[in-house]
Amino acid sequence: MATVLLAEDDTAIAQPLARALEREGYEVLVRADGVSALQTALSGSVDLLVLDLGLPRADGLEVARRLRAAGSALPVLMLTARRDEVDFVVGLDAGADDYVGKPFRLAELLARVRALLRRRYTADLSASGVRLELASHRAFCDGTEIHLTNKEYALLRLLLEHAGDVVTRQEAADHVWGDPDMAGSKTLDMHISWLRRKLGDPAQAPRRLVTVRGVGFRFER
Amino acid sequence: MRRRILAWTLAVVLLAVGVLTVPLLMAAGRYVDPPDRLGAFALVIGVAVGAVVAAMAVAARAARRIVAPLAQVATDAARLAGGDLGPTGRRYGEEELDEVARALDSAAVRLGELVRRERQLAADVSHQLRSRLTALSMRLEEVAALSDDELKVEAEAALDQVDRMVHIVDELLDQARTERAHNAVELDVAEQLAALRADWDDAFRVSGRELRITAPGADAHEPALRARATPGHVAQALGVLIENALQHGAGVVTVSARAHGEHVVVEVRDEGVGVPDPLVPLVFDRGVSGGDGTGIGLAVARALVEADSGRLELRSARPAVFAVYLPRISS
Repeated sequence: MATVLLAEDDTAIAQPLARALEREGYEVLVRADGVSALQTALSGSVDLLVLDLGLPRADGLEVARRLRAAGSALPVLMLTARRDEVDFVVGLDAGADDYVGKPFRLAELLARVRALLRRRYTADLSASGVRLELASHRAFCDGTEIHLTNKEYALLRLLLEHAGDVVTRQEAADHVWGDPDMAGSKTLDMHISWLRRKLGDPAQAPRRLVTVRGVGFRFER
Repeated sequence: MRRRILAWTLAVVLLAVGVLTVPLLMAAGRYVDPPDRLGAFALVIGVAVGAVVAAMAVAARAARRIVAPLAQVATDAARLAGGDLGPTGRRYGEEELDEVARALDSAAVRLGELVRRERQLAADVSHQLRSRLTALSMRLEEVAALSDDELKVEAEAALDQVDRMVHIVDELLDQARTERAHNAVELDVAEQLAALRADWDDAFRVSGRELRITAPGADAHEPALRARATPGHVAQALGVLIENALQHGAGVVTVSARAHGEHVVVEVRDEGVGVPDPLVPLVFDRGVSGGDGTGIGLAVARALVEADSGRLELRSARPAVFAVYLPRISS
């Protein structure tokens, strides 16, 4: 699972935020100052940096600048109590990828975190002999190209991004159709079965796209 | 004022010349023989007119010498009123005038300090309130996420209250900001930057350095780049940045403007080694840079820019690149 580096010096915020990220299944590292946050970010072992602007020793803008100056493409989500539009511009100019103003609702922050982690996978996604070329929007199964509809592609991409983990019906419905209420509909099951057919996965004993009863689906690694 | 000096001088000179001329004319009428009388009259009147003209010329020069520094002090006072908070350091060698100039300078410094303190206070209040509200709302979200339905409803209701409080804080800060920016007008960025050249060319020539200024809209082909700001604030802030680059930097100093969405970004960079690491978090702190009586310092410069809803940031430490962000007016 992805590792999130949380750079926040205010423990009253860092602790509950770290717990919330952990509840989402991320591994969380917390750093309370800019210099150690930068060191950890540059170590290459994290997938995302949630960066508070008002850090001691080097503030968030400076951390973002030095990170980019060092050639790192690590996704950076900036957190700040300054939430004017101009602060957004300043933050993006410093190298942040996205920006959340304090105070924020957890759901909003977690959605941004997910989006940034998704965007990170700009290379290919692959698992169990199935490969997606994101740049060209093409899919390959055991080296042979397969043709997918847009919905099938989006669904397969979501499953591959979380290969090895369960994708709930709600997540799939929300992500692919933008409507969590689709979770209970037959449409989702139909798309899953079409995907299985195109991937040559037997419906009764699937090896790749497995149904997790009562929860959702999992794409095997 | 100049006109009044001239009017009084004219009155006094006419009186003096009249007092001398009338008896002379009367004497000429009585003692000079008729054939020479006309010549004598002409001579006396000629000398009188000459004296008046000469007196007025001297008076005009004196008036100019007295009035010019006064006009300069008046211009400085008007600039101060317009939000240009840099002390000029101008002195005239006239005791009373210098007293006024000193008073203006110290008023400028005090006003700058007030703006800085107000900005600091607003920033602190905003930061503290938002941080505490964030901590509070996250605890409440935790309660909502981890508890049964009844408690969840209560936690959600408390979260709504937090949202309302955030809204109130935003509105109050917005109000304060709008009041601070009441002198802001629409500015042509290229014009503002061109004006800098006049102010700084001498200093650059003396130090053998070069000042390069680039802005879109400087020639007629491009649309002008327009910002909303207080002219004095922009001039002061950029002045501080240029002076910094001249004093602490090296090589060519480049001032460039660009549009960035709804904002105008003006950058000041030089070719020196940049800001040393330990100083980076401190450059905008009071008393760390500038503010030594000749300029207003980066702390006040930042406050002035923020008073116009802009930002002043160090964009790069090595080389040193400072950026002023201002609200843009799209054409």
